[in-house]
Amino acid sequence: MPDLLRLDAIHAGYGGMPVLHGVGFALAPGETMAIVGANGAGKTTLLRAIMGEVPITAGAVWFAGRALAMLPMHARVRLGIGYCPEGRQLFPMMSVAENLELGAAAATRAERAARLERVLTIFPKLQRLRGRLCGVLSGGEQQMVAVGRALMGAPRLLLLDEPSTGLAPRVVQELYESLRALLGTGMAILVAEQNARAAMRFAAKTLVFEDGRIALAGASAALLNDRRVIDAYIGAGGTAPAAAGQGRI
Amino acid sequence: MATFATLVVLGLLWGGVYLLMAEGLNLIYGVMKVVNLAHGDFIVLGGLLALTLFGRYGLSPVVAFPLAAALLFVIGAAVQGGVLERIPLAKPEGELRTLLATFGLSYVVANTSFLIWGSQFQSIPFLQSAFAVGPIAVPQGLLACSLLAAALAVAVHAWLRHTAVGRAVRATAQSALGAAACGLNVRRLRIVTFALGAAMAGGAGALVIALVPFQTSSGGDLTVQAFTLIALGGLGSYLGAWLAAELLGITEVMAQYYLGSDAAAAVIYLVFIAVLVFRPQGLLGRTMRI
Amino acid sequence: MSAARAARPRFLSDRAQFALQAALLGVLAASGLLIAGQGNGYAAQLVFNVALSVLLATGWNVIGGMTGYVSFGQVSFFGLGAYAAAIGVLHLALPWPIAALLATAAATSLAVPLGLIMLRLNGIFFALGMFGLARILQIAANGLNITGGPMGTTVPAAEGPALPAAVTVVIAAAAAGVVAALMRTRLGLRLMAIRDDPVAAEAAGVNVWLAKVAAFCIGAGFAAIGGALYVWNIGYLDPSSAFAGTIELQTVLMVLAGGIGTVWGPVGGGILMSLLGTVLWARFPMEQQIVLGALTMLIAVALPGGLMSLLPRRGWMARPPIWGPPREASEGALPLAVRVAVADTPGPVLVCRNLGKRFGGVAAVDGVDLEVAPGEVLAVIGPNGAGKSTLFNLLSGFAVPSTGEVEFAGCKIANIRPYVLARRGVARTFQTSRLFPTLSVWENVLLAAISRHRRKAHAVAAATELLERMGLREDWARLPQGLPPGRRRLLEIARALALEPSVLLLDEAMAGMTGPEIAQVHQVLRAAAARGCAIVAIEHVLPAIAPLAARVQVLDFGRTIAEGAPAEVLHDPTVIAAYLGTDMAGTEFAHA
Repeated sequence: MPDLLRLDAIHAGYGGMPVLHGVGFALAPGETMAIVGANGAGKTTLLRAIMGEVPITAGAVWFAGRALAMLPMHARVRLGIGYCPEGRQLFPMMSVAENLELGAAAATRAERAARLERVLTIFPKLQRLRGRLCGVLSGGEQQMVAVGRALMGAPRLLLLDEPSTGLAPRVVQELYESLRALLGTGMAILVAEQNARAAMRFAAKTLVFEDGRIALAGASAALLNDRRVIDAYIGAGGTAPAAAGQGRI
Repeated sequence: MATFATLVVLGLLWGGVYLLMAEGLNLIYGVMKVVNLAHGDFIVLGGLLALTLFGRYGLSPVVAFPLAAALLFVIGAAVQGGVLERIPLAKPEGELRTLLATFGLSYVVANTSFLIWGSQFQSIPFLQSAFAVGPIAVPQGLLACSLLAAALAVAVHAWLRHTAVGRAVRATAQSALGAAACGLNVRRLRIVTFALGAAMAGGAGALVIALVPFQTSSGGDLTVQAFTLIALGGLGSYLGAWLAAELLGITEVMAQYYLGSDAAAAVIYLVFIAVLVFRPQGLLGRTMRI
Repeated sequence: MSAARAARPRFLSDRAQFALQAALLGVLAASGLLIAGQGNGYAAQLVFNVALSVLLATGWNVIGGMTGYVSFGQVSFFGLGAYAAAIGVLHLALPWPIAALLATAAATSLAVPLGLIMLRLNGIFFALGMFGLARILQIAANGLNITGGPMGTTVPAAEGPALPAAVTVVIAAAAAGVVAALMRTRLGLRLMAIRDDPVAAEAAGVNVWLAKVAAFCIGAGFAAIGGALYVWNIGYLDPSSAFAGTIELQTVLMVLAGGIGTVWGPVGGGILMSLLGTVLWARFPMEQQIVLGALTMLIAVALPGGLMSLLPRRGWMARPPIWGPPREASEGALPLAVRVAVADTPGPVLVCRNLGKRFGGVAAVDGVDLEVAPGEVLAVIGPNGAGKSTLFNLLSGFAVPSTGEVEFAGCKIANIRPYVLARRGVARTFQTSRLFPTLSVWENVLLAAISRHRRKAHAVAAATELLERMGLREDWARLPQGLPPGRRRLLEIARALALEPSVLLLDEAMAGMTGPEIAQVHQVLRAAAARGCAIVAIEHVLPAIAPLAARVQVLDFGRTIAEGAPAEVLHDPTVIAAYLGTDMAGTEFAHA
């Protein structure tokens, strides 16, 4: 099966500051992948580069066989990529229902209604919150709306940028349990997470980022209790300074 | 006492007109955080268009009102799409560059109007009689214009809340990134917003010229007046803008009556600076978005 | 990982460049005087107009370009100067030179209270506020009967344009010279830093308010002299001319077209635009403002840096970093000094008790206790959103606590401005790099050094020493964006150390550094700690700071969840869970 998403050795950064160095990987339709790593390792930058928020200085991003190079973000979304940016970016003065419906702006009314039903099945808590303004929701509820809004576009690929930020552990658990409903639907999911364990229990494959490069890659189950992952986050015994800048293995 | 009551009523009616004058600016600021310094000149342009339509074709301001708005819509779209979109707002100096561009635009529009219409103060005689409600004499023209202005403001408000495009505009104001993540064409929405803001200015001008005379150089004052209003109301907030409009209307009318027109003009500027310095978050104390 | 060194940029020394600028200004002035003295009234009037434009543009540039406060109301002071001078001549029977001087003094003094009010505004609000100010003054002038109210009045003028032209040329050249000199003083450096990043400037010990007001007054003074000269030349004064919007438009356009923030921008732009304006006025008087307005739009869109941005800014054209270049530092010259007075105080140098900060309903910091003694290194770690940076803002005076208090060297820091704290010895870096993008590496460090040392020689020596220690001496003339990220972080640390702090707050300062760079930083930090400097370092990843830190404090959700030696903390399951998420032992894998 041809890859749904493919990155060819991309370099990307902000202003003069390069963040990603030669990152390349592929995602098949229906595959799930977790991107984990310490703060500043490049996880968010990666997703932003895929969506066109951050310019790519070398390499290319391909989605369903199309080069994404010159497309503005909304065009990429319309191609079938659902995007949940860091910080959720909801519309605080609009209700949950309005937020969700805006996610399906391009669809017909019937399609929109059908998708809304589906999203409410995945996140049943949102049923009774339909009329509530998003600005007053709790962090966990907001995250559900954000994911739901991305799902309203009926995407083939869903990008989630640090969905667990600021959420208590139990809420994170609930969120990922709800997301299980998406598995096996044929939707590919790429989730960048600080909370490595939750992401790694959810996604089949994992990429560990360090200093803008892929340091480790493999099946999540195998990597979950690998000491090297812990090291990438907090560091080893703390004797000599870690060989930052030189990838591991 | 009757005088005072009259002043209050007049002030309230004027508030409706002021609101329309400021709404367009509020809309643009809410979505793009840009203050269009040519806003007042758009108002003047709308008024002078109505003047020509009245003078040459005998069209009443009520008819000229939508026509002026339509023409300004086109001009606004051209300005945003052709010029302002080229300035990337994401970078820090983007806001300032846009401000400078609209600063230049203001002179272009004002001077072009001057070339076409000359420099005299002009007005349209329209519904100049008044009718009495108890002891208060209500000018018909003011009442008609105030109602029309209110109607347009309500219409735009309804459009923002209940239509797809309107909601998309509101969404963009609350989170441009979120809007793009929903697949909304943010660039196109910005153009629509600016055009609509310009249209509202043009429509306001067509109404105001039936009430007071202005000249081609009045644009700057009107911009400051509109900006004072929305700053007082809390930038981007509709309810706040309405409250501020009524307050300002009453203040202006009273200042004119008790202090004379020169001092009244100064009052507006003093309020403007006072608001900016002492209460930038506006009357309601927080910046609600549209 | 040393990159190939580019050819070292060559600059003229400070003195040489200034001499060159002065010479060029002298040449321009001389030609102006020659043309004016020709006896042709028209030519002299033209020279006057051009010189006046240059003067106004230069004044606008000080507050608008150098400090970054774009104003649409500089004409306020032009009008004030015009009116004050006219009143002096008409009603106090003063001779013109005295009247002009007094008018300038009056306007400049008025600029102090006006500046204190208006400079509270930022960006577009400042621009519009100044516009409003100009209109208020115009309306006030309308009501001023001693000058004829709205119709204005005639004023005894100079005979012929030759003398005003000559005087204005000299004054304009002097003004440009003042600005050129200003860019080489402490104030000039501070203004440029404020333009780039007022928060970082404050953290480097700059009294931002004072500097802004000073710049505002200088700009006001230039505009006021211009106003007085204008009236002297034209012999008539009325509100709509003295506070004319077109003067503002032309001034803004001149600086924009020439190059905002440069010395030659206002001069070149002033000459070009006023000639253009004169041609337009002669040929197309009706369309003049359309053209100028359109030109403003065009430049704002296409060429915001003005004509100066088109010239290659290298070699002798480049702005040399002030007071540079740093001399070859001799070995063991000035050791890293630390406030001796503080090191004397017994007990911890920085203490916070029950410190809390709420934003809306969220507690970013929730009851944190912290203390650090002189010479101690404390690492503060925690996952994203744990409140670490908010904590630093509280410790450095950039945020006001909702609960609890902070004590530095025994004094509560509650109402002390951040720049005062910085000067007293609390230095910090920022999580996202806040270097000054238009200042060179050398100047970034020098700015902090001048907050610490009153004497230029000491400041220069201290900055040189620091660059040497951090291995940045070779790159002294580069702009920060030309450095790789690790070296940019080195620069930030150097800037903080230039304050010779007793408390150094490092906010993820070693992010993105290579091994050797980290080792270098450790060496410098050890030296500072040995001299008594207390160091609190936030790091997301512990290895960067572990070799130095005796203690580690772990934050999560705004609270301290663990404390102790690095080895213990790293293997503490609570800490691991905070970073990586709870083990959720009962949860099955979602996937096969």
